[in-house]
Amino acid sequence: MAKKVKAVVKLQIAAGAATPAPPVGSALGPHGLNIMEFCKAFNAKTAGMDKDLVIPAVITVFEDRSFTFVTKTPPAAVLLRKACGIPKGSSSSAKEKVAKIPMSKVREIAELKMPDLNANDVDAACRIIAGTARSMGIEVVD
Amino acid sequence: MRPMRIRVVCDSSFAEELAGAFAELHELEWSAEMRPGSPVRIVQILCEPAAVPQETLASLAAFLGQELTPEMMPRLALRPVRKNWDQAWKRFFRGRVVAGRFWIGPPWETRENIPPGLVPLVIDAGTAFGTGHHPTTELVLALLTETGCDGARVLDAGTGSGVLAIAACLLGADRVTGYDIDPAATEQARTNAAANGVEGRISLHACTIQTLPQGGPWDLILANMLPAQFAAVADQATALLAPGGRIIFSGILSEVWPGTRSLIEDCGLKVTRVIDDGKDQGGWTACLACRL
Repeated sequence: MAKKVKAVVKLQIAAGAATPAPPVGSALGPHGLNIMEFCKAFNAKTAGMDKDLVIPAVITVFEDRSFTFVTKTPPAAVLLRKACGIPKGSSSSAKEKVAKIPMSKVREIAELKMPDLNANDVDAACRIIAGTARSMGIEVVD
Repeated sequence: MRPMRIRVVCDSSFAEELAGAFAELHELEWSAEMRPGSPVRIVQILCEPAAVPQETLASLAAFLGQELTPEMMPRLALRPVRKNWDQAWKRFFRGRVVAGRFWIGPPWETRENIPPGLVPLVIDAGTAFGTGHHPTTELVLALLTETGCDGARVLDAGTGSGVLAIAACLLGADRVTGYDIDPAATEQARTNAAANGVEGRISLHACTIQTLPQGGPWDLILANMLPAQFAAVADQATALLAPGGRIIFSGILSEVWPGTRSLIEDCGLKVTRVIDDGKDQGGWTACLACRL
């Protein structure tokens, strides 16, 4: 019989660098799973990756507190920053624009993130990525 | 003071993405949570009490308001980080038989029901690695039981909770040294050594292999660590082995075993036994190697 799922938790962790401290511990701990075992498995799986990359992990916690996890594509904000070559977005994006990004690049990111976005089609995914870009002070141009 | 968290209750992946982008911009850590059968996503953004969480909350609301219509707007609330998050797992953690030779369980569990013939090992891992139940630990204990360590001088590299160092003592090692780069781990290992009555035969050090106060030689080295970590200490570890000394190496994902085997052999070690946990995917491999 399939095990009953208690919760699904998504976290961003630098490749190979999970530790039982917050945020990993404080996000997973309340669900009663063994934090150290998750850290060990995550670090082993991401050991070969670029240390600067933040890897989202989606952890499925079962009722018996066992768990499985998969790693996902990096967050849209990280991909947008990389695509624009900027270290940081703008925190007052309505006034201050920090970069421009062509729609074709937005589409590329949308396609990459498609499996993780819950969007029905690439156009819907593009709207999500473009919205994230705008709120970061990145102007989307045709 | 406990850190604070901003709790964002939303029902679209767009709102989740945006809340995540906000956290990213402000270099704050965040996580998202979903319950089966519920469309609601809960995003939690951690902030230190000193970071003026009220202001952060207001600027998150403004940030989200740029893209979301009022009906898409998540509910935001400021809360302290949940209490005792590092204790919750204890309620679900039960002792069990490991490697057919040990019973490994936490100190808060009664030991009346331990099957006869097993070596009891009491471990509270705290926030250190090594509850004793991880497949990589089990593989080391299986190889240790097989190869024996009676009267041996043993080094446990990256001792964590001390589970392997203590097991070596209980199997008859003459003296055991454990080290870990995390001082909290060696402190925990010390508590565990005392709980198993072997504190007089174990010395524990918070250091690296380079700064280890005891230079060996060792008859047996236990290295339960990832291949990348092992690669960094492989030469020193091999140099510390007595002639004919053995090393048990675990923490290897089975998919990277071939490359890891070459790494071990390049250090002048001969792999004499290889075992794995029998899983097709995401499984672990361990090996016993001898100094040539």
